[in-house]
Amino acid sequence: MAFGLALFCTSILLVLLGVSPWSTFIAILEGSVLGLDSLSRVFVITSIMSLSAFALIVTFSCNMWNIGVEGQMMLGAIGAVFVARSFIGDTLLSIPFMIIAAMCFGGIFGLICGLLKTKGSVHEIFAGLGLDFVAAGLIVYLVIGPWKKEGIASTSGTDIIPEMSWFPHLFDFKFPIIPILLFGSMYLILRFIYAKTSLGLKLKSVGSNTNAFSRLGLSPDMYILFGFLIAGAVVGLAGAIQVGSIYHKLVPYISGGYGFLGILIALVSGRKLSIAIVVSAFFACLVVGGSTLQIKLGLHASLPGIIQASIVLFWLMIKASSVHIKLINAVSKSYGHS
Amino acid sequence: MAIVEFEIILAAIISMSAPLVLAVVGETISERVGIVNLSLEGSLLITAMVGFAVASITGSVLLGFIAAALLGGIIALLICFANITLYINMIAVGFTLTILLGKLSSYLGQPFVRIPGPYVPQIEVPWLKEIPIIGKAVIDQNVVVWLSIASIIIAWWFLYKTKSGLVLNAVGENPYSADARGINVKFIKYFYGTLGGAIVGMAGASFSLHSIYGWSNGHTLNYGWICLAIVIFGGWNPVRGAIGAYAFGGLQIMALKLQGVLFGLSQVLPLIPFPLMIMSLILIQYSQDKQFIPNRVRSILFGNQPEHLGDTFKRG
Amino acid sequence: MKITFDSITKRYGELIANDAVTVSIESGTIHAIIGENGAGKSTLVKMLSGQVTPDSGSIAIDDKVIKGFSTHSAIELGIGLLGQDPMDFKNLTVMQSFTVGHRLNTSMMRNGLLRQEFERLNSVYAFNIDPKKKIYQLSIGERQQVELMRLLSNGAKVIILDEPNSGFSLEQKSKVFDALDGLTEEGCTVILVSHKLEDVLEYASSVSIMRKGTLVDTLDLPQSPGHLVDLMFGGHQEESVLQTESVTDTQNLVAKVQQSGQTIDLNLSKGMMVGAIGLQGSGVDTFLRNMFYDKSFLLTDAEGPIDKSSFGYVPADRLERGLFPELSILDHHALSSTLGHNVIDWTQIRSMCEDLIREYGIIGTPETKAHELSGGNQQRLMLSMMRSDINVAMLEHPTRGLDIQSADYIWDKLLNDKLSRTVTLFSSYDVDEIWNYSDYVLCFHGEDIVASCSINSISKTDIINNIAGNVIGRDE
Repeated sequence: MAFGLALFCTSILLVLLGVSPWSTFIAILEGSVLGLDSLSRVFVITSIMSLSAFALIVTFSCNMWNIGVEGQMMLGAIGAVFVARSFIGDTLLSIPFMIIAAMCFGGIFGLICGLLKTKGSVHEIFAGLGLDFVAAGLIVYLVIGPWKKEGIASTSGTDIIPEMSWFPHLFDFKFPIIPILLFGSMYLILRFIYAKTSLGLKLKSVGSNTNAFSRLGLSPDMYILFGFLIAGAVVGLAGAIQVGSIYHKLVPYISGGYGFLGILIALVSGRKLSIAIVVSAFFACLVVGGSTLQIKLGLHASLPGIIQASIVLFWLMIKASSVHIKLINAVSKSYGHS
Repeated sequence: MAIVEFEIILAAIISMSAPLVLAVVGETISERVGIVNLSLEGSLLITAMVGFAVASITGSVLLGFIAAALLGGIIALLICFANITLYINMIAVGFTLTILLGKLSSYLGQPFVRIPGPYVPQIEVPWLKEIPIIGKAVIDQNVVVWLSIASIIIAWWFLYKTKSGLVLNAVGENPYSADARGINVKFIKYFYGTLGGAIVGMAGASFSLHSIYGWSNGHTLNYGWICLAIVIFGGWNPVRGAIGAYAFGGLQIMALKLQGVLFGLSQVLPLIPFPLMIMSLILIQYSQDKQFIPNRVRSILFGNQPEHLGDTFKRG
Repeated sequence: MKITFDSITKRYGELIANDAVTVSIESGTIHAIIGENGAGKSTLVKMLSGQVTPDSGSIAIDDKVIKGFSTHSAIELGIGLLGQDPMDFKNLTVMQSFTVGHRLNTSMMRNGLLRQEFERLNSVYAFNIDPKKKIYQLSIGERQQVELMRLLSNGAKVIILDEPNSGFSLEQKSKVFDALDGLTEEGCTVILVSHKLEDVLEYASSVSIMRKGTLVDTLDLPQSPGHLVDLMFGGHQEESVLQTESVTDTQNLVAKVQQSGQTIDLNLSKGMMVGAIGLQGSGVDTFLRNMFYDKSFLLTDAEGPIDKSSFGYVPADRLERGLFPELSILDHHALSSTLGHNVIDWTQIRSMCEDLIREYGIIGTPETKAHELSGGNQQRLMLSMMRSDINVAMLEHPTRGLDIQSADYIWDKLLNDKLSRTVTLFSSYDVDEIWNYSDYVLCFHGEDIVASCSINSISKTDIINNIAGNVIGRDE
């Protein structure tokens, strides 16, 4: 309900910006789901954003903000490229190892963030932000240094990785099988963890009350670290997808802001994994369809971003002021009277 | 010869850092009262764009600044409203705004990309500028630079030497105690949060009308995030924050000079404040418990985070 | 200023915090208000400081009824509240914290005036606090001294000390009370809300005793501490020394308990119930928590220190320290029974949970969230979470705030289970509870355990005197 209202307010915003909401949404639909190429892209980007949102949901369950997602995604990408550039890169083993490496690198980076918080008492927001930039710097260093292109170092990225390391598409439909498998399996794994394991329950508990947690003889710090580790690993996978499906090399700022978008998605999803997927898909359509906006309606590429962010903002404010509850009450009252 | 060279570099640093100094001062004031404006990155972008746009359209640089300041204030006001009245987590709102405003600035700024426009003129002050070092560095600049320097002094004096400044500090430190002493906490937070935002707005305008003329996408080069880091690194003290801003400006100038030598330095440079910020935070924590560090040293080196920074205030 | 409470009543839902309380406090006196936890003392004085509004009744100052107290008007009237948590500013300097909100403060900080004022008070009361220090560097006692100076400096004519506590060193305390004495000579009124009978007896000139929301009596001091404690707890029927069933077990445990440097030998048999009692503010408040968390607090038997992994701890602050507010009963039970990294078999857990809900009489379903439960049910939930392999059960104030039914039920359960455990410890402020359920009692006064013996060898009066500090032969 609040989401619908937020959508409505966003449409008003669009009108104010001189854009017709209706034609915008139509164009986005066209640009995203109506073509095989673009549909494929939608799937890939949905995977990336879902993974990012999942990571945030995991840390939110421990009552932590993981602003470090961008950095963790970047580290995941670094891990994937590392494998791709190694002797395994040319073999069938490459992709599985890329995935493993991405999870390890991302997980460790998340762990660093968690350590800064638990042992260094650094607020996780500043730690995360700082690490984002450190990761960005790391990529730049790699791109112009040890991994530089043959010939001239350029900030446009490293050499392209071997084809065996590219995530393959299935059938003629260009179906991006790996990204979907990745985010699908993460979804199932996380659902399993939270629904059926002691670990998931403990993560939720440590987010609920650290005092009660230590009363049970458990260490809150340890489980908060777990949370960051898992989050980092999950979003590290998104980095692998960036490398394997989209860029096929390492470029600066490879996370492309999808980490931050994941934060927005997690905020709106009320901590539910399944809703996060739906919202991610929606946002992905906006992103992919956005390029059509440029071509067809001559609109600027930043419009999708505006829509995404304003939906979230309006949603936050509407939820907080419980306007939508008052509306529902008002509406049902009027129906009651008639 | 060396003196002249030094003077020129100093002048360049002070000039280039002016927007960052203003932003740091503005955000320091806001954080001191307990409001973290996480939308800084987006705010700077959009106020830079609007400042330039208004100046272009009206032909008046002054109007550009006023518009930017107003906008900065309104954005901060929105964050204050969401947090103080609606009790929404200010991190969530700030963060969402940063993305929204960033994108909006790209979108609305299209007509203004890379077109020439007005800028803040240099002002001639005939004989003062002959003073060695200070002359070139400080006097032979424009209004914006003077404004940035003045803001440091005014902020310092206000925060540490006036009653209102003390109230500001108290509210950010412990709004509940302040409330118990009869201070109108919500109003104070609103006021200084918005004021901080207005100063940030002026910082944005300084970007497009002074530092890097005009407007383009990503014009403000991540300065929003850098500003947040510097505020922390400066221990929430405007003077130290300004020094941090100047240091950063100095690094940038150095990077420009060394561009040919160390390729990519310009990419890595903006990232340096962040590890420093993390170290700062760790050190502050660490020093809290250590009795052997004398008080003076502690304040000078480490600064103090206002205890209730970022918390949402609800009357008991 | 003379203060008169007339028929003050305040309700919080079902709970009557103040029931038609009427008392008159003369100006120029130090008047104490005592009573056990929950008696309503804090509520009463908070009406004077403007933090709580009475449902009915009035407050008069100097015989003039004042309408509508707010924190603001209280400050205006000259009423100052010094609470347990000094409302100051950790990262500011003493001088700065002193200055915030001060009536003498002008817009320029070049306030020689305020500085003089601070120094004057500092030396008059011999507090000797360094104004340049930061507040976080001071001890709690010093912070309260600064607050006191600030209140006085702002023209407070009535000072309310709401349970100033163990933060004060002896020296600091006597300085503060000397200062207050001097003030009363100038016509100020001091209201001392405290648990420390020795303070009340030493410094106050009159005392009001409250119990369960009503004012029991107002007396002039001196009085005997035993008499006061009696009034606080509602008197008692001296029963003949209780004979508990002797618990027979071939193994006699001699347990050593370590508490603030003391080592007490407990002569226990397996399966005994140990009751710890003291006034609020004494060591009994932290005893069990320390036993659980602190490595230097030990329970030792013949073989050495008992492994703390067999300890179960039920804190008094149920929701804040013991339970997970947003999680359901089902989640709680799942958590407490799968502490290893396991896959949870929800069907099994659910049936266990339903059994436990039935067994412990928890009013709720497995889906009910902890914060939705009443206090009694929260307590039942915590008990139900205790694993069966717990050998040492420790419960803080197990029946605090509970209805009679829940309280009885809890005790039934505890008595049933005590035999299968090495020892069960509980803390309470209620002599009757200790009397009825303990096999062994520990009496706290201040931080120390002043008596530890079998319940058979002590009388209720003795217990009361012990916790009141009225032990024959002790110097005060």
